[in-house]
Amino acid sequence: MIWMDAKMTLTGPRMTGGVKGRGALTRKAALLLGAAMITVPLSSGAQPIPGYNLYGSPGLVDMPTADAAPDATLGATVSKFGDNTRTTLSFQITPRLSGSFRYSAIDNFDTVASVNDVYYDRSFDLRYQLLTEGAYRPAVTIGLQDFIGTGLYGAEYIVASKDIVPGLRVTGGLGWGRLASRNAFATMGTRPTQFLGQGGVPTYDQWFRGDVAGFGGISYAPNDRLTFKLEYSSDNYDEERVTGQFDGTSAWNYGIDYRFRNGAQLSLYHAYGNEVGAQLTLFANPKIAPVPGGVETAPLPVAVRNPADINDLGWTANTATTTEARTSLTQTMATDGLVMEGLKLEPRRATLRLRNPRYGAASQAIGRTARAMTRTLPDSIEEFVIVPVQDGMPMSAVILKRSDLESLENDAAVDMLARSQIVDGFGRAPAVEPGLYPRFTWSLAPFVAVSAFDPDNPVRLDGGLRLRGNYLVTPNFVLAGAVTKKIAGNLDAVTRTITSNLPRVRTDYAEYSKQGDPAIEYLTSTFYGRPGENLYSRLTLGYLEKMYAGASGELLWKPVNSRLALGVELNLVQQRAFDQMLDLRDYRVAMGHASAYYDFGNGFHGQLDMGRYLAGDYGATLSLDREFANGWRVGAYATFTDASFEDFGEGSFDKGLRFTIPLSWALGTPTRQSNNLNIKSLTRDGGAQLEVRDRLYDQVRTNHTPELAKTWGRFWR
Amino acid sequence: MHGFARILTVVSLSLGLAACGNDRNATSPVDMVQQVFRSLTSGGTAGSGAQIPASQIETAYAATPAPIALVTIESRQGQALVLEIERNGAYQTFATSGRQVVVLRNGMITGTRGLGGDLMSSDADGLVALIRARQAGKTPYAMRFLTGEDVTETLSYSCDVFPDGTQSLTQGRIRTTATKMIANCTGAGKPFTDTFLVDSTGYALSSRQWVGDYNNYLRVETLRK
Repeated sequence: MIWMDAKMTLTGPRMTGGVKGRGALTRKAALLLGAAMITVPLSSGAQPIPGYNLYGSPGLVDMPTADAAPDATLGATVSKFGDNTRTTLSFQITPRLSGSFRYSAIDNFDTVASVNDVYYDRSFDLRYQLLTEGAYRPAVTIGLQDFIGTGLYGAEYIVASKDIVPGLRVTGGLGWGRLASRNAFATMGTRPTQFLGQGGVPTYDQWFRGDVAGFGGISYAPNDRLTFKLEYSSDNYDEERVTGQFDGTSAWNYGIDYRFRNGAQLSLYHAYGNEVGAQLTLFANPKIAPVPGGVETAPLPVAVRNPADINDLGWTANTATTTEARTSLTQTMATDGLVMEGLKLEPRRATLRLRNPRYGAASQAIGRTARAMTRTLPDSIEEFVIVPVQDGMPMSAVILKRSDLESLENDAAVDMLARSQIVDGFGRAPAVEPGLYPRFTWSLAPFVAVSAFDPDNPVRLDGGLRLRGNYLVTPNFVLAGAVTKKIAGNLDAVTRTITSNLPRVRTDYAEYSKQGDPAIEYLTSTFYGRPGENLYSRLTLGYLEKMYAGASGELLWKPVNSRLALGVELNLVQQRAFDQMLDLRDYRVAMGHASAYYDFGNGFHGQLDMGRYLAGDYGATLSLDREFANGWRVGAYATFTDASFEDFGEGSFDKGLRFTIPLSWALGTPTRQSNNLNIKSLTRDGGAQLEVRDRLYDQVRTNHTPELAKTWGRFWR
Repeated sequence: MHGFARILTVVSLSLGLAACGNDRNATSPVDMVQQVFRSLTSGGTAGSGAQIPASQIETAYAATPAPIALVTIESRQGQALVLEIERNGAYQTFATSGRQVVVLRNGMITGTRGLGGDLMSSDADGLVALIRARQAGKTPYAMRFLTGEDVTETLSYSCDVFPDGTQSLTQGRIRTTATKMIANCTGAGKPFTDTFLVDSTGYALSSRQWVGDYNNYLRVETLRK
């Protein structure tokens, strides 16, 4: 039994500023990750990247070691030996905890689920380093392999590794499950053989049960490029011998690793007596940027006032002076890509309405605006109130003392943060200058859509052109639309039929791909608002996404200095016709969620959504992301609803991984664009969420304290 | 096979097509890929590898009365002419025409911008005092950078400072006798040695300073004070 018709979606740029929209350049995320993995040198810290094994996690050849990768390391591995091909993405979630997602194919493996005798499977692993290595103490790691799902690779282990002399490393461990299929020396209870639900739920009833066997090996690295490895495997490949054509004759595997300057690992193996294998692992790390801090042009320096002029209020009666100040401030900000949307001048205070289309870190936009103000505004003005505005909503108000800007320009950024006040922007934004609205923007760009994990064709692609337009009638009333025209591709060649006991709210995606050419991706009108202090609202009407049209309303409560936000979203939607023009199908649903968002403050962010999903099922989605100040996010989510595992079908419940890669990290120049890559194990109808654009939370938090404080190092950039 | 060929066509087509429109903040994939590789291979535009011709320096003297200096990034063998564009107390901001900046305090580099891997700010009170006084001593010294994650990282050092004789200095419009000051610093990262040529007023007319892992040594020579 395998999961079928899974889908990997690459959604487009998540632009929280300027013109918004989805999907302009869907391959960018993958390209960026690829480019980063190929070219970014990872030789930054003291902790080296350990050798990875055929399973794409730290190990020797086929067996694990107790090594951990440097915090936040992403490793992408493709390995093949004999009939086994494994593609693995691993992430060092914390310095001790790591996780892997794997898509594997076994040739000549004849089961009912196999396609042309190839058996495809997905698996997840988790590893935790219990003990770090000391002078005498070995590193010790406990691991769960393929612990969700059907468990072909299911195994658990405890393993220890220790450097004996520099370069020579010894590993020994105990394995359960698959890792006890050869020469077991003990038994701990009985290991159930049935998997739970419809596959896809943790196989906790099996963990550390049944036979126990030992494995181990040594590695020797004469220099930092080469490593020789020898191991004894406790995996007998029982299932592959019975169902497949595996006929290994030995428990001994050996191999050689070559490490490139950029950290990439290339390995060659001789395994199980009669198989040869090879592996390539590429690495990236969100904490290591091609150019730390970026290479954007320098900010303008603070202009210090002459103390004698500080009490000169003569300008207040002179409109020529104020007009000139406005003009020159607008121009100064424009050279930094910032928009002065409104300005209120009082004798001692200036309040500025800021639109930031360029800088991913709001603190940098605020810092540059503040410096532009020091250079252009009359000397008596001591207090600067900068109100960043997004979609017409004042997001916060950052209050800075001009004398602090003058005295702290060459000090640590935290000193300035300590002197700054960040308060709610409600009711504080000055009126918009005439002539800025209505505003129209458009773009025409190529797109590529990718679908993965269909056993008939593990990767499918569509490519074409996307025309997008945004018409901002007022700052907070936006008409938006996008049309795509496919040029070529094979997404429409999906022939696999998906059975579903639930309303077919997502599983008809192949029909949408087949018939939607050209397609109206979305056509909406959106009103944004600030109904009160700490409150933000959105109402979107129209063709909301590829498959649904209707109305979507959202209300978010987020105090400016709070780690916690609460939101409600209500959607009344009807399914769109497969051709994605203006017609609708019969299926209607009222659905929505109450959501809680929490920034744990240690780099982790959690979100809980509870409510009703597209198929009318009730339940909750739990998401956890590791977030980085530069905008990188790596996370996982799972949705549990009252749709039974049987109704949901294979996989039992919806779950997936998601990555956000900021373009500025890769480019070294500021941009608010980032790319979202979602790897969903499969598309089913249970626990399906509406994909409405421009949900409030991410836009709001960017300009609030936890985020501003995290990125404040960019204030003086 | 037809299908695959078609896919390749699409991929190459989509890479060959730049985005168009009036949305200046939308990056086209072509620009993006080019930029990625450019950022990885160069890391900034400071210093094209060429020496600044004397004629250009003369033109600069004539064009402005402002202080002028020559900045060299040793690792890139690049030079740029910088002009003072602003002064904030003891700090002078010098900029290239391409908006790259070095901030000097008493002729010593306390910050850079636009070079990549920039020195964000420094705690150099003790070092400045010893250099100014041309006296030997031991002093703490700290430099702040942004990491690849965009988090501020402070590198703290302890520096042994001592004078190393005097020499005559001819540099741009400057002709004087200068005291050579050496600072040997150890601490957070690799040890480094900064060198200064200090005039009779205590100003470092020439400094060679370590400014972080990304740019290593930067040289600033004042051509006109």
